[in-house]
Amino acid sequence: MRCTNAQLSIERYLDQSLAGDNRKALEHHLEECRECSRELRTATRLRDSMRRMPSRTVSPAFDQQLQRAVSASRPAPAAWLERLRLRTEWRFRGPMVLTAGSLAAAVIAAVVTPGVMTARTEREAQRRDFVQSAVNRHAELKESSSVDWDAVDSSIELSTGDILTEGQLTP
Amino acid sequence: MIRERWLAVAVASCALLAALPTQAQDGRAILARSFTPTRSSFVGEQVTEITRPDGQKSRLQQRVFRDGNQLRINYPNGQVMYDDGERQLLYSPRPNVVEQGPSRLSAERLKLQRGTLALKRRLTVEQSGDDVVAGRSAHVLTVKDSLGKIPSRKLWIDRETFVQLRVEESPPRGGSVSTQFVSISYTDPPAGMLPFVVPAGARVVPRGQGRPIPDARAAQLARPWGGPLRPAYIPSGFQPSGFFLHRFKGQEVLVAVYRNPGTDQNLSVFQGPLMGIGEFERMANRPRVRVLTGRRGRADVAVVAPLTEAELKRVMDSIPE
Repeated sequence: MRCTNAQLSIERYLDQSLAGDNRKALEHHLEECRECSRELRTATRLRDSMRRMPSRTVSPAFDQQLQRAVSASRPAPAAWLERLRLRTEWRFRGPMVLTAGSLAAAVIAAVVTPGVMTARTEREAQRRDFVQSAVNRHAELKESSSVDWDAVDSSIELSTGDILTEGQLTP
Repeated sequence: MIRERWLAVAVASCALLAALPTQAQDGRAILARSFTPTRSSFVGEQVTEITRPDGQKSRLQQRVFRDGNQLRINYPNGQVMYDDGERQLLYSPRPNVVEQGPSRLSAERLKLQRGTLALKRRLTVEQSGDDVVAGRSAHVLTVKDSLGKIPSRKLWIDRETFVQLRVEESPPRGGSVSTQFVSISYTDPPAGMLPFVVPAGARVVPRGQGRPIPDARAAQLARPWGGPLRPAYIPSGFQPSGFFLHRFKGQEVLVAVYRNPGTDQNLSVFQGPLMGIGEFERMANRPRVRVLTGRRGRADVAVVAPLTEAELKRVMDSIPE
């Protein structure tokens, strides 16, 4: 038996619906193939954990519908039923996941978002303040940069006689 | 005959050698006396002539009033410098700002000058003849510092009063600055001409905030973001005017200023450590000016100028990361 066929048969093997030579061939392959025996272990663990999950009660109407569907089904009912059971369980867990997700989102919105918003608002306010201070300073510097500071310094030095200035007086 | 000639040369050389240190000593003595001239009250008119490194020349004229350790200089643009021996004020009328700093006429300053001259032997003061300035006979001195910490200058000192009449300086970046009295009268200034009262509403700031800071100081300030940021693209007509200091919420911010003398417009590139102002590039329109904020490497940057959005963006984009 090849690995591809073996892995396709694992589901039926677990469902106890694989019989005869096919079952023997698979068991023989699983003894020799590490990869496929790992697949079997994974599938077994998955089923066990699914079984441990709390079951949900379905409405009588849904139950009847399900029974009708089962009656009209083709052979290998056990595997089909198992798959359907898994699907319906997840279908009912869906709203739970959604609810939990919504709750988590609400918590994030309530706790994290205001912090993010506050930081962003603070940064925005900081930017606005800076822009205003830069505009004011720009206007001042327009005057300052038009002043001939060399002339100012030179006239002060000459008028005070303070000419041996080491370094700069400026900050 | 030959022996007599040699004798004459030897005597002349000895006389010259003996005269050289005396002349240097005289130069120091004259300079020292100029710190406390015999006349400390005068009224005068000064002219400053500046030759830029690129050869451009400008000429300014100012009126000076001094009475002992009080000094006032009125500049043509309305600026006023006032020193009362305790503090020096420099008033600029258009931004209505007064820069305040230590006096340059104080006793401490005088002591410092005398000490510098007496102790720093690396300073050479040479007397290089006589001249006439503002109708006054003057000694001409050349002051040089072998380490270059004190700018080298040529000084003209009144032979009679020891008042400094003219100073000529060659800044390290090139060009020259020369200020001289074109008229001086050793009289007390007219009453009311000297006192200066800080105008109402004027903002008093520490000395130096209104003027460019030295390049070394700018480099030191910009070290946290890898050095002063200079745009590679500057619109036509704008020239670098220097680095200035700006304070924002206790933080020192560097401003690279470019000036277009033809249009009387300025372009300011504010740069500081990351303060959260440049996280996203944003354009802000203000009356007569636009501001583009952004982030360049480790610096928050704001470009301010009366330019189009496209021009401002081009300037910002040319600032290296």
